[in-house]
Amino acid sequence: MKRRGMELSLADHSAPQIHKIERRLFLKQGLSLGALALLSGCALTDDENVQTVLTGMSRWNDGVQAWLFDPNKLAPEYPESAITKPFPFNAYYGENEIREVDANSYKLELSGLIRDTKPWTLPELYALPQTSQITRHICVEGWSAIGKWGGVRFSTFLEGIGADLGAKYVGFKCADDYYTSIDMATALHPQTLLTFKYADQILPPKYGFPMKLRVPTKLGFKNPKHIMAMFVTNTYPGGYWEDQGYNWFSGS
Amino acid sequence: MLSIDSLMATRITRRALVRGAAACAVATAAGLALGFGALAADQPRVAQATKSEPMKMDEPMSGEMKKKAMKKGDVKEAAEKKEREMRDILEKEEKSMPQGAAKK
Repeated sequence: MKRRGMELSLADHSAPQIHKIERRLFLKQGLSLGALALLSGCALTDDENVQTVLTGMSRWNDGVQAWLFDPNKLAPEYPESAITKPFPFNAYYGENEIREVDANSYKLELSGLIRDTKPWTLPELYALPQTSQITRHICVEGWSAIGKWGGVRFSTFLEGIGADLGAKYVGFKCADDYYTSIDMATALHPQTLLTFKYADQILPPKYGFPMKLRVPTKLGFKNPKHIMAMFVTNTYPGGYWEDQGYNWFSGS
Repeated sequence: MLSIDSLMATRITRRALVRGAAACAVATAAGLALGFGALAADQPRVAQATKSEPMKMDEPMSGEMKKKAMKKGDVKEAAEKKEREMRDILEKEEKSMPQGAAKK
């Protein structure tokens, strides 16, 4: 009798919680379905009006995903034994066409809403406090792989250069012409790293030498490699794939 | 007149000198090869990577994200267009910031 009473009281307490979880799950699944519909929609028609509507929906979708994003929720981390070997190479070009960046002349260019836009050399970047993580890279193409990246917390770097942390976007320009951008909340997430190492070795060219932004809370194409310049802005900067119809927020 | 003994001695000495020179040449070559090998091994990992070929801009893109008819050169074109669009905005935003060395 006493036990039955306890079950009842537990059920009473958990009901609103379950309701809350279900609502969040419904929203997330709805958004995923929406994103999928948008992606397939892009291939269905090139009609300008349809594209405008779809782009508008995608931007709305970004807003909702940003609203749902929990800046304190961490992506799962894994043991060394879980690392995928070899970690796959993926780009819009072949492995024989990787752009080589000269380490000696390299300088990271900064612009936009940043107080100190002085360019950074590699030794200066390597001297920043380093950390590492073993996380899963999830690709929009449908595969995933676990790898170990090392570098400086992006939030530490942004604070160091006097970036406006209240700005909306951080954009990246890469040596292979690729470009993308992320929201400031994701940039300041504790697991977002400006990485210089893969598997404890200097980042090899195929994984993005001299520097790759590792964002375990986002899909792979939001993790730019061979970063040459970055900027902070309040104007929506898009990105290469994002401008082709892929969802900009693209949380994983 | 030279005696047979002195002729023999000259020949032996010359042969020894030629052999010595050949041995020195071989040793020098081996030393140089080892030296260059050691230098090459000291190069950073990046330099050891396979030499890249220039990107073939007119070729179709790799990967599964592309749409039909997308070429590798499209990314460069789009990047240049975006650069033009963002340049003034970023300059204006940069000027709006108090300039100076931030903490490092």
